[in-house]
Amino acid sequence: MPKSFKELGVIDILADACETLKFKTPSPIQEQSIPYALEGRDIMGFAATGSGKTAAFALPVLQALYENPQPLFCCVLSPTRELAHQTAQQFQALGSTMGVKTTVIIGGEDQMQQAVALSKKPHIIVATPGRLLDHLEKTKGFNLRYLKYLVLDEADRLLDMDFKEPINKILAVIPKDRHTYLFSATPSKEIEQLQRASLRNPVRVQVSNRITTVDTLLEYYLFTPLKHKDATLVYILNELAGKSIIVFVNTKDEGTRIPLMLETLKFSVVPINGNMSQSARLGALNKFRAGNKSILVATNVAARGLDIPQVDVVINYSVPDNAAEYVHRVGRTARAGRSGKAITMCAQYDVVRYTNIEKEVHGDKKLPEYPIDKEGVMLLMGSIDEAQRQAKISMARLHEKMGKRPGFKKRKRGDDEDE
Amino acid sequence: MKKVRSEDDGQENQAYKALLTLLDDGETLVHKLPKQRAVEIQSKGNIEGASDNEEEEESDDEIQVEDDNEGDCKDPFEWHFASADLENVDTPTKWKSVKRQLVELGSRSVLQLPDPAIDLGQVPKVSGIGSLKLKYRIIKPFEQVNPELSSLQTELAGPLFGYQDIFVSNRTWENAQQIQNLYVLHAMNHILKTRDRILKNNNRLSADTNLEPKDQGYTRPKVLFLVPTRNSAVKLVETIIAVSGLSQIESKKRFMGAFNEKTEPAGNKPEDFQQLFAGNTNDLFCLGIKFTRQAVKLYSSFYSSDIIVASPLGLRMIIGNEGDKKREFDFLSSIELMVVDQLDAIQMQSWENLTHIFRHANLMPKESHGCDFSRIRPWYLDQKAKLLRQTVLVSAYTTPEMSNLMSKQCLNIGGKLRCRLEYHGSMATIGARIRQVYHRLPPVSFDREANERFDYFTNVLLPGLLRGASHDGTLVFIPSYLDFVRVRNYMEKHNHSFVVLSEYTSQSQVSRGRTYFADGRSKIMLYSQRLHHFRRYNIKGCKNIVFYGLPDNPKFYQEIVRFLARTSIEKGIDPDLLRVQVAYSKWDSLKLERIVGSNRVGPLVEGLNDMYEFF
Repeated sequence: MPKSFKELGVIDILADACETLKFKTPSPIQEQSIPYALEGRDIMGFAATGSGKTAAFALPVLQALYENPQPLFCCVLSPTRELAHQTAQQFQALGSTMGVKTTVIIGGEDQMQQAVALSKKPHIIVATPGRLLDHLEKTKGFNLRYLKYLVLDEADRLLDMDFKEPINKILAVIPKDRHTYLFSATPSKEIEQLQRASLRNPVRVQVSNRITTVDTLLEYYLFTPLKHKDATLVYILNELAGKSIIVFVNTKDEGTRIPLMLETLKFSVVPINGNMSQSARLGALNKFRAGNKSILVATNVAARGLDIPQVDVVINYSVPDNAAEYVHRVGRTARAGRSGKAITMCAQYDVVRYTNIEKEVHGDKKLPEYPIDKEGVMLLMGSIDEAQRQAKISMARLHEKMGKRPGFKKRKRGDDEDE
Repeated sequence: MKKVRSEDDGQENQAYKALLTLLDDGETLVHKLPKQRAVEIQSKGNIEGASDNEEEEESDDEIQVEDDNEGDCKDPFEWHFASADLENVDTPTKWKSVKRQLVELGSRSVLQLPDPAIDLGQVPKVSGIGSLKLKYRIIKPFEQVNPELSSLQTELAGPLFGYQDIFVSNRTWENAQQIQNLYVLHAMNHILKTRDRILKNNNRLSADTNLEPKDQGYTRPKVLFLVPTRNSAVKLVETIIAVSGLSQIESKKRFMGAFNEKTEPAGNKPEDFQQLFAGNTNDLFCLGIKFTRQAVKLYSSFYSSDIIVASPLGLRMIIGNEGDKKREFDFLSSIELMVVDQLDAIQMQSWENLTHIFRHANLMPKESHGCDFSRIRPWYLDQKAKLLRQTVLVSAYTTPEMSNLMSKQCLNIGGKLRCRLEYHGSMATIGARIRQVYHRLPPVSFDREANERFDYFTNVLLPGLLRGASHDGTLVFIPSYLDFVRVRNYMEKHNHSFVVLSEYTSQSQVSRGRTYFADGRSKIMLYSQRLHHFRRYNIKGCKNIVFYGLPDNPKFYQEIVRFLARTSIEKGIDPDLLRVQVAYSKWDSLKLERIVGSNRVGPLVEGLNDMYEFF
């Protein structure tokens, strides 16, 4: 078994970059895919998040670029704006010594700036499909006629998010003679379809058959009545004070309310959800990443692909919709060999959903219950009542403001109170 | 200023409305189908700079390839805009000054170059029309307009055709046409070179799609001319048409109808006034001009124009203010040559409009307007367009505001030439012996200077006059309107007998004021600089003159001091009894120099005494 990147065939300049980034040994997915990729084969990879996928495709792409420098060399399609930024950062970090130029093309940012960035001929474009297609169609003088590498990152999610059509259109205008890598957390029929459409004779690389969590992660469940959910959350956060924590919620409403409540209780908390503008989201993320805020309350938008290495604990305030979602959420912690904790809060109505997920992820193994002092939770109820009230008042005010704003569009999901 | 020109109110209203409709349509201007748009405009009538977007096929095959100087390192167009070294330039932080003794433009001129120097080639030596790198097809037409280069033109052509910023500070009505001919020639040459290069590359591209020529900016307008009045726009456009050598002019009738007027100011006014205020003096317009192979098209839409001719006010209205719903300034993103003519007259209109325009030039556009990103010159993408733009300012004299504009907004890395003359002083040619006493204000910082001046006037000058035997016929000339209001309020508060003549005074009040003052019924008159600029009155009955501050225009000083000479002749008063008093500070040295002469300004500003007398 090769022990280092060099032994996988990675050139010195990139291996050194890995070292400075503290990637000591290749992760399983990197170990399996990089040699094939360096041979020039197309790759189809299945691996859980946090397993080092980004480097698995970035290293071969950069190596090929090093041997054959050319503008507009590689395009990475990414399902979310946040992930696109992260992938670009990783490319930049790995390729900084060879002077690689990367550009992020995502929705919600100024088209003109992006057009200018594209006409400066970056080597790598990391993009969300919709906006990239926009530029291919509308920005005069921009094309991907000489593209050599295409990467479809988190392909399951790309298809989830209705990017099928733009992807097909993009595939139609880029050269057939290219290398393609497709990565996904889960295999599915649609992925197979996409694979047939875009890859040529790919090598299939799979790290683990079942979608599962990494071994260094300690998982717990916590059964609590719906009524006491907030109090329990506050109790746990009190206990874990000083650690960096992500709290996942299912709806945007909760994603707004809970941070407000926690703020009233003087927790250092920052929200990230779909109601926020792109720059506000990035700002929130940076605050959390830099350690200015220790608690991040996130809805599903943040669930995928965010690499925040310092997260110690993930709390599922609500049970996720399915197993894949669960794996992605708890995958925020215990990344890259570190240890971590995941606590899933389960109310009386969520029991069925929870047991299904538990079964799918862990088979017959039952997770341990997270130990708490119920008396202690009850003691908190008083102060929490007041905080909840304050949060509700702020929420009502917020809703009023949004309702008044003429351009505000009603959200399909999450804003239950409006309906 | 609007009040002053009440006679062309109707005209102005019409233009206002037209401009407003244009602003309403600002957004659709770009997106609508060209045909539709053209029809719409027709129905709306007379709109300046409105669009007719019919982008007709320009025949590419006529291009004379041998006329293109691509790669010619001696052509300034090449080294200034296409040089590969431009990639690494940065905004110069320091400028190195080199003295230039120019015969026509001023013996004390200064050329400023970025420090450390950026090597962009040598400014060409000019010996005649033939030595300029001109497009063949404009040489003949230009020679018809301007058979030979005058010595002034020869001197100016070097830096002008070498793409350096220039500040010309000795425009007069006699040399105005020479200067204009030359900068129009340069502008035409620049536009044709840019255009021909693009067309030539279109040809090449259709043969080989792999080429990626870099030959354009974000938007088409390359040249911006700012002039103060419609009448000056007519002169400019006529010069442009003549130099272009094209006989087919679209919308010329419409243009002449809206811009031309055969009126002349009263014959007894000075010549420069006659020139400036002849014809249509409306100052609200913005016009696009486009060149095709056969024709000059006036009233082309801004985004398909090569030249924009505008008054600062007209262009400012289109740019709009921060927070306005309709704003439009993307078409200024790719201006490569900006000429502001009659800067002195523009300053009399409103300085703020001009700086507003400079702040909005060469910004990155908000929308692409259909530009081909693969052909945009790299320094546009790096937002360095400001560093390449050539700015030519033409003025009759220098003011601190103009110098400031030159230092802050003209960043051309090719260098900037500030022309400075040796002045003999307009005082010397008054033609009458009149005592002129110069009082120097205590030296204070610039922001406290206005207070110091006011205190000096109210505590020293005014009491001195009132104490005298008679202060009948005292004219107080005040250059800045802010000071004017302050002094007026003070006089009102202290119940002095005085009349007010400023640019905002109604015509009837002006007449009444002048009569009262001439009769001696009012003893003091406050007279503003702007009013003198717009009217050039000959005030009767002056016996004392106080310059609260000196006028910017040295001619004004002469004219105003001559009021006294007139009194002395008409009323037979001994000239010794008449007196001029001037308050000045070290911040006035530019104005002072033009009036007392270059050799005297030093002692006056820095000498030991605080008071100087001239006869």
